[in-house]
Amino acid sequence: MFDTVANAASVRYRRRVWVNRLMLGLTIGSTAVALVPLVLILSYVVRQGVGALSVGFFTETFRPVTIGVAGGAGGVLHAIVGSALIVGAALLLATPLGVLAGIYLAEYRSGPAATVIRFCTDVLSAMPSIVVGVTAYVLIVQRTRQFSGLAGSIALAVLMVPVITRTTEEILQLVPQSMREAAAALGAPRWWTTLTVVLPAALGGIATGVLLAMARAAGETAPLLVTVLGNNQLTFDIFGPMQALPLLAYRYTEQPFAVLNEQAWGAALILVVLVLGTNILVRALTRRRAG
Amino acid sequence: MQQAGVTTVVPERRIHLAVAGARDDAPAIPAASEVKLDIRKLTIIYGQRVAVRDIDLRIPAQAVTAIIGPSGSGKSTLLRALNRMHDDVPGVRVTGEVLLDGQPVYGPEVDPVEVRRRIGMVFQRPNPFAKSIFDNVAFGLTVFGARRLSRREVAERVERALRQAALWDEVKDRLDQPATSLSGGQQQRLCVARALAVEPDVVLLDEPTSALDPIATGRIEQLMRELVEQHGYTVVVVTHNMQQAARVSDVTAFMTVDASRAGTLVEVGPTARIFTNPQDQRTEDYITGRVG
Repeated sequence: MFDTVANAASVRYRRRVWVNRLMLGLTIGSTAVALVPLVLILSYVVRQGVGALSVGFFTETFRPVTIGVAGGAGGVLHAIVGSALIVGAALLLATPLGVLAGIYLAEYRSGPAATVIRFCTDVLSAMPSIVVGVTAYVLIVQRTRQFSGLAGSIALAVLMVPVITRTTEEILQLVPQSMREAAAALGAPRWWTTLTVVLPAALGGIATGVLLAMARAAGETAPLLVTVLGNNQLTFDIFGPMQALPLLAYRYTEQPFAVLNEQAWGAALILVVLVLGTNILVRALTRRRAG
Repeated sequence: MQQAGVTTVVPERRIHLAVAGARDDAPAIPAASEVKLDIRKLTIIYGQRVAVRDIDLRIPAQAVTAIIGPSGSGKSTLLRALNRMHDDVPGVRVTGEVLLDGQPVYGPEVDPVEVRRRIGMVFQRPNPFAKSIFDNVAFGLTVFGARRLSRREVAERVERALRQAALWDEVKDRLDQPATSLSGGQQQRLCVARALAVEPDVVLLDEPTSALDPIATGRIEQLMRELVEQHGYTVVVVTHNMQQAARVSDVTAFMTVDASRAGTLVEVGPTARIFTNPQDQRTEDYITGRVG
């Protein structure tokens, strides 16, 4: 009798061990499969794009290519400058809006208004970017009768604001309530506490949110297609058509010239490095804050 | 005889200490017991629930008053009402009166900022700001609406507050370092210094040692005595540690939960009397460990 009990127990035990191994294997396998695309994309982009990299790639602009004539490759300086200006302007527009909205939600969130704002923010952050782009096209480009970098900036800012708002709100909520109490007990008005106690304590986290939003916006293509249009010349005029890296990558892949196809990969590589670099920077920032 | 605390108590130990203090060239402390805070029929309601009901309590000046009692008896709630910390919490109603030196603490014409400047507060867990040691202590001096002080005056008052909080010698060479670089006990003394910098009359401490180890606890307790004996502050401390109340306080108030689950004041008196000869059965049950 003891024998059978022991046997039954050991059978159950072995089964448990096997189920455990199976589940562990499944999770490890799934993780590996999930990582495959990332590794493939990274390695492929690097392999294809690295050939395009040269000094000229960063310092020259578009050079016309003719079939049958071996021409110089030119570069993507105009797209780098365009991306920097468009994303920079978007950052200037979105950061104050997003941070202030986040402060409102975290510090003064009571009543139905906050719930509505939070809901709208969530919807907006899930909005397909082409919808935002087309809306910007109708509201800005059509009305001003002018494709422009600024229209693209506004579209990108609309995509960035919800991300910045929610990260700001979440980071501010991490600041201990006891700090706000301490400030109140010292006679500080609420807004003063927010400005001098809560915000400084949360600055690193807010910067992280802004950086991630920026990295995401820098890679957006769809909203720029219908607003910025594209431009083969180097221009600093944000009120006119501009070039941007993702846009250039998209346009150049459609071209029948190998030189331009390669430059598309080079542009893609710059974007990937930008995203990767931002993420590493963010990790370094947050680790320093935690440590 | 539930409201035995209505009568003003003369803290015996304090008189003794006042004499000792005079010998040490400390500022003369009047022997007669003055009432610093006069709490009358104070009731605090959270939404629908009465948290503390009908508290009548007189806090003597320049003495340590301890408020003890089981969890949920409203000790902290009562303490926080004294410098209007409930103002910012939605759904809290405070009725009754609190008088500071005979002047009302509540009332439409009273500025809560002024109340908080005169009644400082130290919380359960050390809660320094994410700023330097110096900026933490200077916070109350540089807050919006405070009287403008010159840079030198601020520095002087920071030093004085840190000395009074017995922290100066440990931090004087690193005032620009983040407050979080201090140990927990040092952080709590920093929070005391931060409260003292605005030169209040009264310092409220809400279970100030519950997050500290025994050595840091001893320093805070010693500090509470020094604040009263050497610097003339009035100290009110909430604690659920009866030994602590017995060690540091001149006057002890005992609170408990009544049948309607509201906090109520059972008895108040000189600490030695409360612990050796309580008048109320509930006090005796609590201090002898039969309840709570």
